[in-house]
Amino acid sequence: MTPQEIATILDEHEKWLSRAHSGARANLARANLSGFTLEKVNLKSAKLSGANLEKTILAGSNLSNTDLFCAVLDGADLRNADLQNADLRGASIRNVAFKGANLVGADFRGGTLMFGSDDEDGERKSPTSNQQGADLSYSAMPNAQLAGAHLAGANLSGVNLRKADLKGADLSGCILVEADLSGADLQDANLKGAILDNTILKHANLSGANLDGCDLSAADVTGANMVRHEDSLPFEVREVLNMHYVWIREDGRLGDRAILKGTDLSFIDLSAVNLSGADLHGANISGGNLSNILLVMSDLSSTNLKGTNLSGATLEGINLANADMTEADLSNAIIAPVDLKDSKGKVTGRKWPANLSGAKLVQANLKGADLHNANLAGADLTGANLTGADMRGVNLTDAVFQPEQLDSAKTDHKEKNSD
Amino acid sequence: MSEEQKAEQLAYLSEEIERLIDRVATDVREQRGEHEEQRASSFVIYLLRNSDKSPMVSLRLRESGIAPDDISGTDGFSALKHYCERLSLHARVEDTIRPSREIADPCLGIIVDGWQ
Repeated sequence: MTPQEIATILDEHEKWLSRAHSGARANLARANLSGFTLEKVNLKSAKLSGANLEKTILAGSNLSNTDLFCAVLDGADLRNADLQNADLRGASIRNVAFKGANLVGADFRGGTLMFGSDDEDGERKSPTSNQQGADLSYSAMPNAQLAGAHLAGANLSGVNLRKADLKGADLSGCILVEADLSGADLQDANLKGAILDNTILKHANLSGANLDGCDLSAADVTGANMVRHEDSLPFEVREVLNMHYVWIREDGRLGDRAILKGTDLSFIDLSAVNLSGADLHGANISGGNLSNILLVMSDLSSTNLKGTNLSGATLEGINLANADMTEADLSNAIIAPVDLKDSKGKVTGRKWPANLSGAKLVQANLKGADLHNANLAGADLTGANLTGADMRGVNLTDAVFQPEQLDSAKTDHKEKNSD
Repeated sequence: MSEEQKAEQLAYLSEEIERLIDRVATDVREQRGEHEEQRASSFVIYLLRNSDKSPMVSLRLRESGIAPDDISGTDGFSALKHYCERLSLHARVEDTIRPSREIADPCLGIIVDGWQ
């Protein structure tokens, strides 16, 4: 195909797009456009199925709603191109520059190649059967708009997806090995069964994302927002929580106290709710947002609260014995004793202190927390920030900490000295 | 290629395509799957082959005077198309199939898709 022929097709296509009763839709199916510079061209809704676009420069081009079915795009330059709702099924898309490209609603799903007639041995499937989705490995897609894109099963190994918009995208079963998704927005994305070995998810927004079957142990999720909403929980758990809220509201006359022993509540957003009196013994609430929650007299013994946000929480009289609060944020939390009341709701004068015995508070932030009279016997406070924390009357028997950690805390010793 | 040979070739293709009716429902059910992990497959390509089992190179067919529209007009394809429509699927002739990296020339196939 000569450059003049391509230019004519593009002109005719522009006319066709302008609905000027002239021109013709560009049909470049199977065309060999490898290495051509087609920067900023308008190929909206064009037919490019099976076209060879290897190393073609299409930066800034409009390829929205384009049929790129089974096209070869290896090494192409698609920076800032508009590929909204493009059909990229079965396309070969290795090492493509997609920086800033708009791929909203684009379909990258793979297909299956079969022989139309059986082999002598009855074999139908071709050995090149591609059931795994598109191969986008090592492509550059920073800042790309991929909201709602169909990428199920795609190979995204080593892909640069920094700050990409992947809201609501289908990434189920994707291979994201060594992909860089730093700062990417994956809100409500489906990552079910995705392989996340050495995947960088630093400061990514994974709020509401489906991570079922994902092993995040080898992924870097530093600073990632992985909070999920209550409606992502199983029906039975939601029911238990709802009945508890009724129990609180109706002062115990209706509803039921929540018993969620050993339940997986990781990355849950339960900020500012009232779960006072709940039994959450052994539950996994790691990475959750429990800021400003009320957990008065609740049982959270042996819970996993690693990295959980408990800032401003009211934890009076709580049982946190042997809980793991490594790197948890407990700033300004109230972990003070609670005034016990009788059956008529009258204050008895007795106080019930919080139990943090044996708790792991390594690198926890307790800045400004009220811990007075709490039992911290055997607790590990290594590296915990106790600046401004009220540590008066605290039992620190066998607790692990450096004396200087208490320098900026409020303690009995300092009270006496100031008297 | 003479008109007679062209007609023969089209008749062969028509038969090959019509045979797909016997298996398309099963193949699509397998590919669509009831399990989410199978959703990556969004279409089936039936690669059409010559009598010696080699893939049908689109260019060779064009050189013989056979265009995709001629294939779409065969009785076999019409029957497959109608059958697929009854299953809420789409069938079309595609002459841009690259079955593998080893085969540089695009080949002829039938695409069946239409499921989500």
